Amino acid sequence: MKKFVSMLLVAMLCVAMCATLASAEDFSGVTVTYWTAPFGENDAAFFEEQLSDWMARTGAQVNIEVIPWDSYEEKYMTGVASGTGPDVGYMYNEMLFNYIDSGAILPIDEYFTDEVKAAAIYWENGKVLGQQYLLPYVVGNPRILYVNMDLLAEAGLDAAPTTWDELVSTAKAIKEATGKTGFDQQWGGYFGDLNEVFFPYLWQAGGRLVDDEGNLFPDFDAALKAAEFLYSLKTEGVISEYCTSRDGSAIAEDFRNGDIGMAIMSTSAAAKNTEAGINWGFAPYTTETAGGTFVANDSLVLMSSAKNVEAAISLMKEITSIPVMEAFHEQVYQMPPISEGEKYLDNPAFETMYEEAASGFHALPVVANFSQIEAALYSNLQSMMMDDLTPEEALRTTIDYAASLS
Amino acid sequence: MSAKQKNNLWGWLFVLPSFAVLLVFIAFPIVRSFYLSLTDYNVLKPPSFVGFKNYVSAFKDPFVQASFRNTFQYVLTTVPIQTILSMIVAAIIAMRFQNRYGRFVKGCMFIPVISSSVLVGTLFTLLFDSTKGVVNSAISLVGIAPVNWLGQKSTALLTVCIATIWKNVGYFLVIFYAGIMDIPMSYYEAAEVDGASKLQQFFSITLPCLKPITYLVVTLGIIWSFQAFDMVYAMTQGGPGKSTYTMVYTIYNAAFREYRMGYACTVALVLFVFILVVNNIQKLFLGRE
Amino acid sequence: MKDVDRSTPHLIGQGALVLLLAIMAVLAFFPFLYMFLLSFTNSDSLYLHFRDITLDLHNYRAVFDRINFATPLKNSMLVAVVTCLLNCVLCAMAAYGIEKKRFAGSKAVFAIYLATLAVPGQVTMIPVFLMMRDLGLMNSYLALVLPSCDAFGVFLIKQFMGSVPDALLEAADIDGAGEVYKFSRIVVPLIMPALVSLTVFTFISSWNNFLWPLVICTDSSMHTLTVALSLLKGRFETNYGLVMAGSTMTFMFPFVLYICLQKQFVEGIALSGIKG
Repeated sequence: MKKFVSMLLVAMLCVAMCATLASAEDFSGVTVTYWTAPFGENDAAFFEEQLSDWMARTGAQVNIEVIPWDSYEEKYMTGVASGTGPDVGYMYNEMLFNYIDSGAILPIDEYFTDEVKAAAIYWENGKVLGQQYLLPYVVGNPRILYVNMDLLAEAGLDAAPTTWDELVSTAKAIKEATGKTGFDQQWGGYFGDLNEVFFPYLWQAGGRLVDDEGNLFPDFDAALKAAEFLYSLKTEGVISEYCTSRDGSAIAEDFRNGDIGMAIMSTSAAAKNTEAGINWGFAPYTTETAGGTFVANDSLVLMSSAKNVEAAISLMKEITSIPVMEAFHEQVYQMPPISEGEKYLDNPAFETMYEEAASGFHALPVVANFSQIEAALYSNLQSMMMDDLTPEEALRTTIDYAASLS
Repeated sequence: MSAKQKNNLWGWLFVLPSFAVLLVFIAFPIVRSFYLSLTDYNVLKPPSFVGFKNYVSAFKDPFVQASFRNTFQYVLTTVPIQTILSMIVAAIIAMRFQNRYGRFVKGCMFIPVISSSVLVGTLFTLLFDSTKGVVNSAISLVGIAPVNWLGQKSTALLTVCIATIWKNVGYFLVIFYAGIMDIPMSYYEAAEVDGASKLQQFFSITLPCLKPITYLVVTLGIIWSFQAFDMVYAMTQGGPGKSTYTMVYTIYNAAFREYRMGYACTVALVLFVFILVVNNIQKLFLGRE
Repeated sequence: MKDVDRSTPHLIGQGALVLLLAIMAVLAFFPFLYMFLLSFTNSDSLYLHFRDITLDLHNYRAVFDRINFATPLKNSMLVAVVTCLLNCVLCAMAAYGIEKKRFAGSKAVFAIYLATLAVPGQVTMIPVFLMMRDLGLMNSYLALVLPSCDAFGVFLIKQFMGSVPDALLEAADIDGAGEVYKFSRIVVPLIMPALVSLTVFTFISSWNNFLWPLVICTDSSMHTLTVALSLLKGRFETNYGLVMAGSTMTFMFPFVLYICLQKQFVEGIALSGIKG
């Protein structure tokens, strides 16, 4: 009898809990549109499966649109401008400014409890332009220096370089011992490649991209030091003479063919490097004045056009919940955890790096006209690599151009 | 209603549907473009009127300057080469190979015309790769050192031109071929009697008779080349440096990558006026009617 | 050109020309062969390594696994077919009006048509997009079809229209035939080759269009084939075997159409040129 009563009590408690849950989150008839990017083989199918629980629990429907990387921003721009955009979007820092500036993205601070904020490891990264606009979601994928350990061994070395001088001497040693390119960079891609080819060196030289007023390269000498170093890589024959026609794919392919000794790629490239049979090692970055490299800080955002803000917030919480994120990191896209208590499912090789090297990981700033400035900077640095501009001219031209925009 | 009025009415009725589409989707947008060119507009916020500021900045913009230069170079490279090449091949087929072989060659050369520019651009990027491309392997067989096709100023735009010419030649070939077939045989027979060689016949009969067709081919070629975008988008993204920025690529960049609609409309209108001017100049040279 | 002489230099010249044309044909076809072979490679490689070619369809299967092929294929087909029909009807009517009616102002109207040829699509895209938005036509077939009608078709058919004898139309007038009858029963059959070539051109441009369908349709159930296939491209790296498999499949449709209609098509283009 006692047992029966306790069971009854438990059952009643359950019913009561379900009832409160249901009343708190009943979005029957609501459809939340989520725009994401193609990370895996079939992202729409993945999210539909993972979010089926949430849909059953809340009665809401999820409409998932996977936006191709080709023309990702075009699609957001036209979608938001025409009112056919998403309720919840996936965006990266470089594209955020205009949306926040025009009020297309809403601050989310009030919807999250202190416990949730404390559990979100990168919550602070979501504060841009003075407010909490972002729920950090894909944080990681730093651009690291991969080394082909077999080629390194042939050159009689056993450790990845840690300074610029070592980078140069290691590259030269590999070239001498094996006849292959020691280190290579993609100067023939598009401006997004600055994350691999320029920004890391800028930070390593102790420079910043913009200051608080939005001025480009506030520490000009550091930027110049980085540019001069990169230029010397070309003139001294460290990187390939064909670098101005190579893009990220070509560099990755060469590395996986064992044709180049070292290259900077994202951590998400590790699995394919292994698959290609490369015995690789890595350094998170080389250190000159400081250590530094690019890290992604992509987020979920709440669009102001969301028809039902509570449902949209609930979906954002569900997507970033531990079970969904673990499944995402396991099945779709290997990344480090974003919440306390979430399992580490990225490549085991990087587990300690995320703590040890964290101080050198920089995300891009959210500032006006950033993609224009990036396009001009990449173009001018390409000209530098082709001997059309000196390193100083390349940077000065870009600074003048950036100033002319504001 | 007189017969003439009736005729006019029916004429307008037949033209009206497509003319309406044209007005709504091309003429009206151009007018709206002009309005937008006087504003700062990022699509997300309402446009704000700035007068001729965009026009002033366009003339100072190094990217616009480079894209003007490159577009001209692009037009001046692709149009003559594709015109002359397609004319010569058409003449060879018409004069010597009016048979199954000639038809086969024509058929093959037309296939690039039906493929998309983006696909052609992607394929040519692979074929012209500096280290592993087929083209560099081929020229190394005859002892030429590998060329950094898409990686240097002197050849990047040229490589984009080659892809364009490759895609267009088949189309113009067919037009020229038909034009040559339309030249009365008696002209050639008379020339034969006078003892003119094939080459002389080409210059004294074929070439003059093809004048109206050459006009058509050059006009279309100029219009298409001024609008070069897909190839650049697929092959070089404007680089290296500014060496392959074209006008339309700059417009696209300003509009869709930089959220500067007003500015994009400004550059677009300048380009539009330019194409009209060039077409009228060309009319003076090649003459018509 | 009948009695060609058979002297040795001539034969050598003939041989050289045969070779020259053969090279042109091979050059024209080679990149597509490259695309086709690449779609059978086993690696992520951008470049063709013959050792990587396998005779199985794994890339094609992967494309089908990743992309729900049926809906985009249906959309692309529908849009292309409707665009072709609409374009043919509108352009033929306009060309007939301008060339055969020679009404007051027809010259000016044609000049306007020609001028619009010089307008790059990227110029009008934003205003047209804004208009579609204001009309509530986002995510509609109408928005995909309408803007594809352009002056090129009018230009092409007008050139061809010259070959329709005026006498035929005058005879029909005497018989008391109406304008609609004259257009649909006399003119349209005679300009068939031009309509075929316009169809092929319209089909190709509609089929290959990427940016417009991408921005005008935010709903994936409205995606066309080019948009759906662009999901195969990665952010940092691209599996070219997969992309080439997708490209080969997309390319096949206009290719087959061209092969089927080759004769009329070439005739149509050809005749449009000579009356210029």
